[in-house]
Amino acid sequence: MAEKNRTALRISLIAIMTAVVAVFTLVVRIPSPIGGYISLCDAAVSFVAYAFGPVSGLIAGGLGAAFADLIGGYPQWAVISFIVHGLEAFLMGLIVKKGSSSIPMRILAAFIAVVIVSGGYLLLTTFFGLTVFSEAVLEVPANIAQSAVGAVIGLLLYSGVRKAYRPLDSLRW
Amino acid sequence: MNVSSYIYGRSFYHRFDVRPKLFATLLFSALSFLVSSYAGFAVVFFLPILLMFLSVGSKESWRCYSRLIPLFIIILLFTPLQDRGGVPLVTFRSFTLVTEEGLHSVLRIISRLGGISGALMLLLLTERNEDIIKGLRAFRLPYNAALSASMILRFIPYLGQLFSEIRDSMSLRLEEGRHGYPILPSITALAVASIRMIPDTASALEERGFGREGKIGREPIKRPRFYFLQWAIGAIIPLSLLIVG
Amino acid sequence: MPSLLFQDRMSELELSFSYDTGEEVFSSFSLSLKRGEHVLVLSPPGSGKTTLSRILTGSIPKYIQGSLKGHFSIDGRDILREDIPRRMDAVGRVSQNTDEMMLFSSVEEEISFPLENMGLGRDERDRRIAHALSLFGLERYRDVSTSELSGGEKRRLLLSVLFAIDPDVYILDESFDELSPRWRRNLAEAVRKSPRTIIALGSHELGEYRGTFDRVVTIEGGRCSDYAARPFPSVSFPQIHKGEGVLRAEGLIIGREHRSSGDLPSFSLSVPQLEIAEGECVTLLGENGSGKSSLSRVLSGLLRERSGSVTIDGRSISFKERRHAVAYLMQNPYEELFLPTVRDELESTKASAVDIEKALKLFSLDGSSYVQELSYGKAKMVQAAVFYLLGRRFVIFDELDSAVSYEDFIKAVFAYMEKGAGLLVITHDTRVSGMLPGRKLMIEGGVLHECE
Repeated sequence: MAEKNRTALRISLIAIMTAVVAVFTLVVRIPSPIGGYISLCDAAVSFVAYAFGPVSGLIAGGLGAAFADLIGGYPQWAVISFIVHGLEAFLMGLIVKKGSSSIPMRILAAFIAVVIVSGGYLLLTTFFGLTVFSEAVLEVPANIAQSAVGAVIGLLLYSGVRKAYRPLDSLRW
Repeated sequence: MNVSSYIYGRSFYHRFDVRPKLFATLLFSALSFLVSSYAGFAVVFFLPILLMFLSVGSKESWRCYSRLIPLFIIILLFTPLQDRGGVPLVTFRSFTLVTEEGLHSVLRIISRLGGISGALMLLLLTERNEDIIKGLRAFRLPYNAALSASMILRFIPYLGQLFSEIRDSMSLRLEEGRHGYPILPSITALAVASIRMIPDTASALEERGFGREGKIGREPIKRPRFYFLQWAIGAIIPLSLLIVG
Repeated sequence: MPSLLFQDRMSELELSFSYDTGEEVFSSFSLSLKRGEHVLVLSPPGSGKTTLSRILTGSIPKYIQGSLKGHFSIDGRDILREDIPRRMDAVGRVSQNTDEMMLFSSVEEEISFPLENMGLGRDERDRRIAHALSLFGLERYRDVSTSELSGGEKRRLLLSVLFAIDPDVYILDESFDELSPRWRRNLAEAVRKSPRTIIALGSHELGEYRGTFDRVVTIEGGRCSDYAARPFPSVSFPQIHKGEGVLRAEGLIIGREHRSSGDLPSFSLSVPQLEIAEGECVTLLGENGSGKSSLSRVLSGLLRERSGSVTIDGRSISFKERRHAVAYLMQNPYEELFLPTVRDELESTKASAVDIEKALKLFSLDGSSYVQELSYGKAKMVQAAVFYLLGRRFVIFDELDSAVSYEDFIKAVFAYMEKGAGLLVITHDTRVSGMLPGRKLMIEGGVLHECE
């Protein structure tokens, strides 16, 4: 793409990937083996991080999760989701740099995602005083499962998309 | 998929200008952290309910709050109401069931969660998404951020719809005897379709003049009647939390 | 209005272009236009029409890479050297895929945005928005959410946007497609009245083109040449052998709910009786938004009817079973294609290698091309090939004829008929419906009935 002004491209990338994260969170639901549903929020967040790097990941991942909360009827979690998923995507994007993503690095990225999501919600919800610690601890196993599954699906998604849409890598900032 | 929670109405809160409304919502949420008296908890919890009831009616209010009830119950179940060392309020034989401190901390969390959620839901129920973005512009939200937000609101329902189309067409291609839809191919198709749109959308933005110099015609929103009075009310109501403590 | 002084000034276009993938699209393509001239470019899908429109507005090579040489001068100004936003007052387009250029969630914002960027004040914007909406009958849609618009309505919105911007050169990429006859006539009228230079791009002749354009050209081998009118293909379709199986719908009521703006009527369609036998070809006509796609979704098991019954061979079939019996080729082909290459798509049907080769030939496809890089028309042929291999007993073509050449369209109809499938062909093109064998159906006033 030309060296010229890329602002329009950045805005489009952020808007569309934010919407992708929100739609994955709200619409795509996989029945979980232990009952209930797993949302694909983390899969989309890690996909954005793998495909577009840390900065786009931070904005689109965080905003997408926040928009999903706002639309889904839980506006009180929007800020917390923004911080948690933004940070998740940012760190994953930093670890898995384009081209140099070896298997240990991917495992590390997935591990970081799990730590950030489960720890982040635990700390922030209690920090903001929107719940009590013992209740927040209860959510931890589900968050661990969801973010671990998400990191794997995100990776599968990334390799699938790259095969089908060749110009993918030219879209990074 | 419906991204807008807006409910058409002509109530007092609907007519409130979006700028003081945004300010009041944020101030109310922030000040709810400072409240520590039982009277304060009651105001934090019930004020949004009252306003919501007056602006969108009981059915919609119930729809919003019914989502929070499980959270309240879980908090009640998991909070140590019998906080050791507190002043006992309810005792059963020799067991202390509820203490003063325990009750206080439970009510604080529940009122804050309910109050902040209620205030935010009230905003989304009484203002169109487009108007909220315009209002945020008045608080110096950068133009490009507001533009992105407007576009996000277009793409969320569009991609939601696209996903159900993709899921449908996948199910049309299944072999005889198989039902449902394959998840990974479906989400891959959605991701590819979305990413394909990025360069097209960027070009569409520029073809519609994004990036031209000398933009004018982006006038601020007109001020309604009683604009300053609205600001005053928008400030006074949340600030009253400080008085009740 | 163009001033008299510039009346005879011309635009000159000279192009050579190839994509970074190596595909050469134009070699010394040249076209000169008089101010206010209306030119129609008629050429088959994949010949470079959309590429041409993207080069003129700048989307190529800024957003889709390739090597471009040449110039497009309007009044001595070389547009190709300018960055995209600066070209806005010189040239604008309506894209073939309407979702490609839709940016906002409300109809009003969509039109207002470019006008704001042009620096127009609120009053002038309001005037232009109202005028543009009235040109294409969208007055009542001002507050409607763009996600609730049908394909034809989206097309009319994008046309409104272009007419509101009102650049020197309009490019209409297959803009007559997806519009019902009424809006096609309306657009033709707007083109005739316009003092601007207009380049319309189309895959096949339409009745509405007659008398609308000053000149017709074509693209052949990457160059522009005069269009030699070809007689409308006369085809002798295979004899209809009505098979055993019959798809029958009785007393169907189909409805779609809410609109974000309360005063638009919600839509409903009643189908007293509909019958399609295997081996038969039935054509369905009707206005935009009259419920043709919704009926297709009901028959193929994607949408639930409000009441009524759908049976095959006299046996009532469940909602889910319909999906395996009735294929539905949706309007937007990309929604039904999801694998990297054409061959991957065809292999996913589990058909034998021999059949796949046959299908590639039958639908003139190259197995190694990437689906996402195909033109819209080519993607439609892949879609047709996939369902051909799946071998469903009944098939619905939802405006398959738009954006593919008549030859390709006929090939597809032929192939399916020979296979003995029962066909329901939805089209806006009266010539296509006249050419096809078999019964004609029509939706009028919310009711489906048989035509004479």
